[in-house]
Amino acid sequence: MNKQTGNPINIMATGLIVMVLLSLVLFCGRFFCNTHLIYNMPLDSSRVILSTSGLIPGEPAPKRVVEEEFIRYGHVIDQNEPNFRYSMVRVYIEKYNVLFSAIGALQDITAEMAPCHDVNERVCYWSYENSGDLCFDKRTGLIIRRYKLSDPNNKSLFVDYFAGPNGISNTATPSLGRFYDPILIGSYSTDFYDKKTHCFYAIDFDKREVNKGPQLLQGDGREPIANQGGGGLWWLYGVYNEVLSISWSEPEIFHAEKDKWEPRRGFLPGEKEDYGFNEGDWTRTYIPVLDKTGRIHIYNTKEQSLTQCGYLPAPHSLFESEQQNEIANPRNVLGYIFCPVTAIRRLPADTNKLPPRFDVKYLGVCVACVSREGTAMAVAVFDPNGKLIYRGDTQTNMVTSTSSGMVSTASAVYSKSPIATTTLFLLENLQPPVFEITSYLCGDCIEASAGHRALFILPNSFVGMLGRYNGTKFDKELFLPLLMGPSLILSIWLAFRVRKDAKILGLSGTAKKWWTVGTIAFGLPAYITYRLTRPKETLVTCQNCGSMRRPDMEICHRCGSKWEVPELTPPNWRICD
Amino acid sequence: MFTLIIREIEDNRIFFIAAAILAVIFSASFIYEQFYGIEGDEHVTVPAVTISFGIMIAIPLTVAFCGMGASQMYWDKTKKISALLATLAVTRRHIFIARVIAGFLLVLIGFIPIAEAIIMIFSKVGMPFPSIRGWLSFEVMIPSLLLGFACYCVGLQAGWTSNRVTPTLVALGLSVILIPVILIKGFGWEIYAVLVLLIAACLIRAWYKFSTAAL
Repeated sequence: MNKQTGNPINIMATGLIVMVLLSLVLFCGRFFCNTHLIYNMPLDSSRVILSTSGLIPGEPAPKRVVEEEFIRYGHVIDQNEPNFRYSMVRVYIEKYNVLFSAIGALQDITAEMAPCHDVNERVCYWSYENSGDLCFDKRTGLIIRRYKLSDPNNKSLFVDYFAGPNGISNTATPSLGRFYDPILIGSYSTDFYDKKTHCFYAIDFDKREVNKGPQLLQGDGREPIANQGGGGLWWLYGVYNEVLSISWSEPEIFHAEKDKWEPRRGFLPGEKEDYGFNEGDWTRTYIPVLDKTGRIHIYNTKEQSLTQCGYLPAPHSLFESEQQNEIANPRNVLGYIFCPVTAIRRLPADTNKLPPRFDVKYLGVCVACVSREGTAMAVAVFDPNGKLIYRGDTQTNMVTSTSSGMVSTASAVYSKSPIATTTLFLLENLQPPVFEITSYLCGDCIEASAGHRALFILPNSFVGMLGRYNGTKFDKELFLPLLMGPSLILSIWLAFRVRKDAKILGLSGTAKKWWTVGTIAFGLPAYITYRLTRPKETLVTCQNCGSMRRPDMEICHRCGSKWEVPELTPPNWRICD
Repeated sequence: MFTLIIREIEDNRIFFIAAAILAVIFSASFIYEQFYGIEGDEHVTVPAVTISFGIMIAIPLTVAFCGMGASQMYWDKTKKISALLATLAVTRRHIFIARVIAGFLLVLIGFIPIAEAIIMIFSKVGMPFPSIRGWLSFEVMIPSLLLGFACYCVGLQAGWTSNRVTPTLVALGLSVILIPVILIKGFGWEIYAVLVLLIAACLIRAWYKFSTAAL
């Protein structure tokens, strides 16, 4: 019998099975609670609307729409200016997509679609049905642009152009050089940053030019990480997986005679010609890029310069009240989005044959971030010099017995649904205490989106949120036992039960010690494991002490007495024929 | 060993036939839907229908796999099959390995027609991005196959009892609990880690139970 050697392995195997299955059940419970909490919030708590963005010269400072929007002629306008509308910013948390963060299969499928990697080691950046696609061939190190041509027979013909650091050709030749690890910057653009050579490249396939941009030093904090809005595939497949949506609308004026709103052009300081105002920059002169510290830079493709223009504003959390200038780390926010604003004027063409030229001015950028838990959003507006001109957070009106007022949605989301919050708290406390402590200590090491799919270490739990609390250490240590209290009490009670049962069963001192420590550390899963793996022998009454004892042990584990075997003395009588 | 595997298959032929029929029916209806039943942009509908279809077939198939594991252990315990075989020139280890191989074959029989159908459809439709085809046929299929096998292994846990109702209910419950793991963790390395560890743990526990039980 290999019971002695096999038992610890069997216990660990059983423990693992119990842990995985219990974690799945608890995950489903937490998911339903979070769904209820997020959907219970009113609509106005998941959006920030600025009646004026403050980015157009001559406009007042950014102002938030707090009350109901005033709509006239189909447009949201200021009540004091019935025929005129300032530029507006609208940012929304997409509640569905916050919840979809917890569904890893969906995340993986959408991530696989944009950008995608094919069997020939090609990274597809974007693909248009009518104009072909753009991809990077890892094998040759060249960027390939495919043009779709139409012939009179309505058959599609494709022409490939290959771009390397040294130029563009219609054949892949070594003289073009090679890119190593390029990332696309800007949506639908052909501007790249090579992470290995730390160099920016602007590729113009129409002019057959590759322009080398600024080269960063190794370790330069401005190194871009994000491909903001890159790739149209998300839209193509209808799986737009951003947790935030942002829109900037240009200033408009109502023409009563035409009975319609029209964009309002305007003059910039020192300019004699008027400009049109745009969300983004379709001329690809100014491209916003994000670095890993959360700072946003504007990459000027004409001047080949990189200038800081803003940063990701840190959103509120349950135990955190972020300061105005605090920068959010891209890994620690569930989503971020930014929208540069530009003024564009078409310049008079020299001749009819030359392509049109444009004068582009950068006016500033609107940035939004959603918190790790998906419950709060921060919005910031930066002027062209990168100076913060507005900072706001999602808020909702809370009325209590003592007071009423606007509070951050990060805390209001839990106050609005006490039953769901309590259930969520209790479910989190069914997790093993050792995982709760790990969530407290290093929950923020897990990327924000992955935190929603976590089974064991829960960075978005109450304890995990406390771990990221930026207050005093004393406050953190004061709250920790309160938040972990139910879990600790349950574990200690279960450990007590295990110890008591182990004593009755006559387990050895070492086994009792390990089971007690294990149950305190792993809580409910350890207790279930104990119940599944404990010896199944039926106990019998000890004739010496009267307690229950194991029939498979030579001595009673309570009193140490041996089995009392009646002496077999032969009878005095005999059977005779 | 080969004879033992054949014997396991014969004893549980109902599961093999059911899995094959299920797989063929689902594959045929899937192919029909993809070619004749869907309107609109095929590049949009194919991935969407594939995912919905995958979720739809996951439940009956995983329950079948779990049921097979539970059935093998239940009939062994009640009919004393291992006790009879142990009188011949086979060990418990041989019996257990043959049983697990038969279970794995069942999982393959359930998956291969469906995997083939998906690959065939993606080849016919000609997705704009070849990666999706390769990804769906490999990176999605392997975790799904592991999930099916994990369900079978969980079934082995549930079956070692004399009670007829317990293994049925426990196998059903555990497989339903286990299915969401692939939805939650997706198709990355984490799902491989979780499922491989779970399979290993289930096999160790099943072997421990089987090897220490009185025949």
